[in-house]
Amino acid sequence: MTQLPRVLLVDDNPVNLKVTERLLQKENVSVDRAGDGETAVASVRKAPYELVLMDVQLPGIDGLEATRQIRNWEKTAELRTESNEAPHLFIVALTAEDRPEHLQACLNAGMDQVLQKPVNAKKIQALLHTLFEQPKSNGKTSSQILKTLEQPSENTPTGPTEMSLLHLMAFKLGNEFYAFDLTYLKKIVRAKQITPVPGVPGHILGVINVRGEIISVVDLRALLGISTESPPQSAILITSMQGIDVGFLVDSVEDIIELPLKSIDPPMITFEKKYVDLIEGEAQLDNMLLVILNYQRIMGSETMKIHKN
Amino acid sequence: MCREPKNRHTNPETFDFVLFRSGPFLMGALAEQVSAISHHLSQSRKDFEIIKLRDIFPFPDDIEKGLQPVFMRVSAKSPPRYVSADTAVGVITLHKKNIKKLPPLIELLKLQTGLWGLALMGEEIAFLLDLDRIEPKYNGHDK
Repeated sequence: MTQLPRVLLVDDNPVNLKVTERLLQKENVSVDRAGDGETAVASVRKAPYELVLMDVQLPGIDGLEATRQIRNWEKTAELRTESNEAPHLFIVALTAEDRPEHLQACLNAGMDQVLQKPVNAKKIQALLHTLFEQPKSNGKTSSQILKTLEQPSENTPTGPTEMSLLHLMAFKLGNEFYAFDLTYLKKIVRAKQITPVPGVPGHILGVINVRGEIISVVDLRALLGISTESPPQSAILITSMQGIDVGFLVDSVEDIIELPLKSIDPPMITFEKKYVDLIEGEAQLDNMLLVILNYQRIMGSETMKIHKN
Repeated sequence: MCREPKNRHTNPETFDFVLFRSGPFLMGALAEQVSAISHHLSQSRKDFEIIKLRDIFPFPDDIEKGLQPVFMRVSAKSPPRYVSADTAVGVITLHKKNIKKLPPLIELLKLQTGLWGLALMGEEIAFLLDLDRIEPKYNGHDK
C-alpha cells in the first residue's frame, strides 16, 4: 500500500486552515494542523513530514522564527545521515505579502518557496506536482517530456466548460445562502471593531486593522439590497483581486462547496433589476438554494467602482 | 481661551497632528494647518467662513447634545476659515509608519477630497483631513 505524502499545515486562522486542508486533502495528501509556531516546531520533531506549509504571521514565534528553529534542529548531529548530510524538510511560506524584501526574508529564514495567498486549488496542485510527482531522476526521458507537453498550461481551460468545477465559499446573509468563487478569498476574520469612516456611502461600514493592514469593510446585504431584521453579523470575508483587498461583512460563514458549472442555473428574478447583474446564478443543493455571486461584477459595479475593465 | 497648537520639526520622520472628534469619528489635521483653537468666535466679525464637521460628515442617529464646539482656525485661508468639531483631543506626534494611505475602496468612494489618510493610534484609527481642501457642503452620495 502506498503511503500518502504527509503535510504539516501551520496557520492561526481556523478558517484558512480548513480551506487549505480541504484543498490538500483533495490532492490525496495526509494533513496535520498546527495553529502556532511552537506547535509547528514540536510537530516536525515528532513526525516525518514531506512538506510544511507555514503561515508567516503567527502568534508567539512567527513562521520565520519557526523555520529557523527547524533548520537549526535539522543540523543536529543525531539527524545527520551516514554521509553526514543534514536532512532538509521542504518548507513553503504562506503569505499575502508580495514585497520583495518580505519574500527575501522568507528565503533567508530557510524557507524553500513562497506561496502567495489567497491559496487556491491551482496553486496547491502546482506545488504538490512539483514536489511529489516530478521524477526524482533528471526527468528528461522523451515520454516524460511528451507527458509534460500534453499537460495544459496554467492559462488554458482545463476541459469542456460543462466538466469544470467551481470552488465556492458559502455564507449566509439573513436566512439565505450565498457564495462566491473561493479564488478571491484571502482570509476570514471575526467581525469586531469596525471603525466607521466619515463621508462614505452607506454600504461602506468602515475599516478594520488586520495586523497593521487597513481593510475596507462593505455591508454585503446593503450592496445587494437585502433587508433583514438585524441578524448577527459575525464574520468578514477578506477578498483580494489585483492586489486590492476588500472585506465583506456576512452573517455567518458556512462551508467550502465544490460545484460543477453545469449545475448552476440562471438567477431567478428575486432580486431587483439593478442587482441581478451581480448574481452569477443559483444552484439547488440537498438542503439549500445557493445564490452564487459574481465577484468581479460586484467589484466593478457602480457602487464599488474598482476592477472596472 | 485660545490655544496655539504645538509644532515640532526636530525629526523628519514624525509629524504633529491636532486631534479632534466629530460625532463617532476621531480626526486629525496637520498641526501647521491650525493657527489657533478656541471655544468662541468673535460675534462682531462677519468676514470668515465656518465649516461644521458634523455637516460635512453626517452620521446616522446624530443628536447634538448641547456640545460646546471648538473652532480651529485654518492657517492659510483668507478670508479666515474656521472648522468646528465637537471636542479637541490634543496634539500628537506620529511617526510616518503609523500614517497610512486610505484603502483603495475608501479612496475611490470618499465624498470629501479633504480626507486623505489615516493614522493608527493603538486600538483607534484617526482620519486625517486637509483643512484647506475640505469642501464646505456635504456633496451627497452621487460623487
